[in-house]
Amino acid sequence: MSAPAATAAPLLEIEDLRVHFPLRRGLFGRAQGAVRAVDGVSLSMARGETLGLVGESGCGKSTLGNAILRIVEPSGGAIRLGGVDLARLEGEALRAARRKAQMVFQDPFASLDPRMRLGESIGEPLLVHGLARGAALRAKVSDLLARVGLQPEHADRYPPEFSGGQRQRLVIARALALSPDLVICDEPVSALDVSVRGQILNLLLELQRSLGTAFLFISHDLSVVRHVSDRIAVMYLGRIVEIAPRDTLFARPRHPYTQALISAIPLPDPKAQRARRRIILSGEIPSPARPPSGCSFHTRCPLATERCRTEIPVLAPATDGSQVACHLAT
Amino acid sequence: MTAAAPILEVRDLAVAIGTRRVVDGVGFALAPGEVLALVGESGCGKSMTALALLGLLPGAARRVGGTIGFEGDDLARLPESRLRAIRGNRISVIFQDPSGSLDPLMTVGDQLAEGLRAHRDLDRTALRARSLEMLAAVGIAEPERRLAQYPFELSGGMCQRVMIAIALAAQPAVLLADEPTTALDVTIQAQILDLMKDLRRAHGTAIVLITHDMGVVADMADRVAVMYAGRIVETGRVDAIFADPRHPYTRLLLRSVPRLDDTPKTPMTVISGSVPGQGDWPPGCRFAPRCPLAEDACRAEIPASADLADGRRVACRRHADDAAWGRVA
Repeated sequence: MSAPAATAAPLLEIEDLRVHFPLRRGLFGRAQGAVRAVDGVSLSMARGETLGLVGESGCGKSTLGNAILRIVEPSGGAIRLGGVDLARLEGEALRAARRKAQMVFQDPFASLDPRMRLGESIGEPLLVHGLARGAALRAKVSDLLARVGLQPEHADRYPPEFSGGQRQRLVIARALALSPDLVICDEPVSALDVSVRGQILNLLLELQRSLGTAFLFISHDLSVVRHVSDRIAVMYLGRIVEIAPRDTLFARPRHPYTQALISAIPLPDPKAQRARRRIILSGEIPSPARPPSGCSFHTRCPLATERCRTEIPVLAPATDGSQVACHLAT
Repeated sequence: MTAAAPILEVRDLAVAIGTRRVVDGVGFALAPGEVLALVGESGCGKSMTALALLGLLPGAARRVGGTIGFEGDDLARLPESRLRAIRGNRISVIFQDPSGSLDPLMTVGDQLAEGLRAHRDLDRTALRARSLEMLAAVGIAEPERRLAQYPFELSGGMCQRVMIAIALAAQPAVLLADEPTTALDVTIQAQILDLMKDLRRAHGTAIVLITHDMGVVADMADRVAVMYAGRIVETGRVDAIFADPRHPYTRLLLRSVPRLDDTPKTPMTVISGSVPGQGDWPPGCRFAPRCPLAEDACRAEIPASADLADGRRVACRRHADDAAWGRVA
C-alpha cells in the first residue's frame, strides 16, 4: 500500500505540543524548573499512514505518544484528531473522541489483567462505550480473536496461559475493538524474541492493509521502523530534528544525528559492516532537565559551530519532502 | 581456526536442572584475541553455557559434565576459592542486567579501583586518573561525580556502563559478555563495541559474546556458534556462516531479522512455532518440529556433526541437500 496523497485532510495534526514536568525539591518543594520531555512538536499524519517515531531513551518519543491520547497532560499545543482538538476536551467529550485512537504498549504482560478472561478484556472497551453486549459482543470478540490469529475458544482463558507473542496479539485485538482510525504502538515488539517479532510485525502490516488503520509506530529500532513505516520522524531531547519519507531518510539523512543513528545500526552482513565508515558519537545524551543551549545536539555533534551553541534551529522544509532542524543541513 | 593454542577450551559441557539437560554436550575453543559469538533464541542455553564456565549457575541448575580448560587448569574441577580469584580478574563477565553484578555498598570508584589494582601497582593519583578515563570511555558524563556515587544513585543504563568499565579495567584474558549492549541505546552501543574491540587489540583479550543481534555478530565476531535447544547446531567463521548457512535454523535466524536493504512493508520471514521449554527437548533433531526440511529420519535420531571443508561443523542430516534448500526461506 502506498502512502495516501498528502492533499487529503490529515487524520492527526499536532501543533507546537509541549509536555513539561515540573522539577520539585523536597516534599512540599516549589517547582525548580521543568523537564521539557516534549518541547514544541508539530507533525501531521494521513489516514492509513504509518509514521515511525525514533530516538534514544529520554528523547520524549513515548511521552509524545502518551500526550496524544492525554495519558499524560500536555502543557500546551493542539492535538487535532479528525479535526477535533483533544487537548481542549474534558470528561465525556474526551472519552468519546479518544475512541478513535488506541494504544499498544511494549509489555504485553503488564497490559492485560491476569484475573480477567480474554473475552472480557477484549470486549471491555465495547461494553464500556455501550457498543455491543450479549451475543453481539461474543461474536465481535470471536471476530477480533480471529483477526489477530487466535481461536474463538481462547476467549474463556486467562492471560497467564499465553506466551508473550500471543499476549501481544491479544493487546492488539483489544486496541482494534473500537475500530480506531489511529493506533499508537509504543515499542510493540521490543520485548519479543526474533521469531515472534516477525510474526507480530507481519500481523500489524496485514491489519493495516485490511482495515486502513493509521499507525504511529514508536521504537528505538531503526531497522524495524524502516520495515513498517511510510514516513519517519527522528526525535532528540524533546524535539523533532528530522522528518522525511522513509526512503529519503535512509538514502539521504540530513541531520547529523540521523546520520549517526543510521550509521550506528550494525548491519547483519560481516563484509558490509566492517567496510563501512561509521560516525561514533562521544558522550551521553544530556538530561532533558538541563538541555544544552542552542541546538540541543551540539554537545555531541561532530559538525557543531558557534551558531549551533546559541541559536535553536527550526524544522524547515527541504525540496525533497523532508524537514530538518539543523543550521548546517543543505 | 586460528593456529595459536586455545586460551579457553570447553568440551562436552552439560548443565541440568533436575533431570532436564538444558545444556547438552557443548564444546568450543577460543584462541587468544578471538571473538566467538554464541547466538540463538531465548531458552536455547546460551546464558547457561556462559554461567557454567565460571561456576555461576543460578538456583537448581548444576553442571553435570564436561571440562573447561583455561591456563592449564580445568575450571570444572577448581574449588570455589580458586574460581573467585579468576573471576573479574583473568576472566571478566558482563551481564545484560547489571543489578546483580555491582556491589550496592561500594562506591563506583572503589569498585573500579579493585579491578585496576589487580593488575598494576598504581598509586592513588594514577588510580583515580585511570578510573576517570575508564568511565569517560564508556560514555559516562561527569565522571568525577560518579566515582563517589553508589550504584543506587545511577540509572540502569549507567550501572550497565559502570559494570562494563569494571570488566574492561581488569584487562582480562577472556571476557564473557552476555547481551552486553542489548539494554543500551544504539549510539552508546557503538561506543561500547568499539571499546571491546580496543581491549582485544591492545591486550589480546578473547571474547565470548552472547547476543541475539545479528548486526552485532557481523560487527564483532571471528567465529559463530549457533545454539538450539541446548546444543551447538552449527559453528564456523563469521563470513561463511552469514554467506552460506548450512543448518536450516541458522538460515532462518539470519533471514528473520529486518535488514536495511529488504523491501519494506512486505511479510518478513518467520520461524514457525517456538523453542521448546528448557530441557523438554523433542526426540531426534531438536529443530525438526519447526524445520521445513524435516523428514522421518530427522525425528528418529540426533544428527551427528559433520566437518565441512571450510572448517565448519554442522549438525544437520540435510546440510548438503542443495536441492531442498530453496524450501527453507
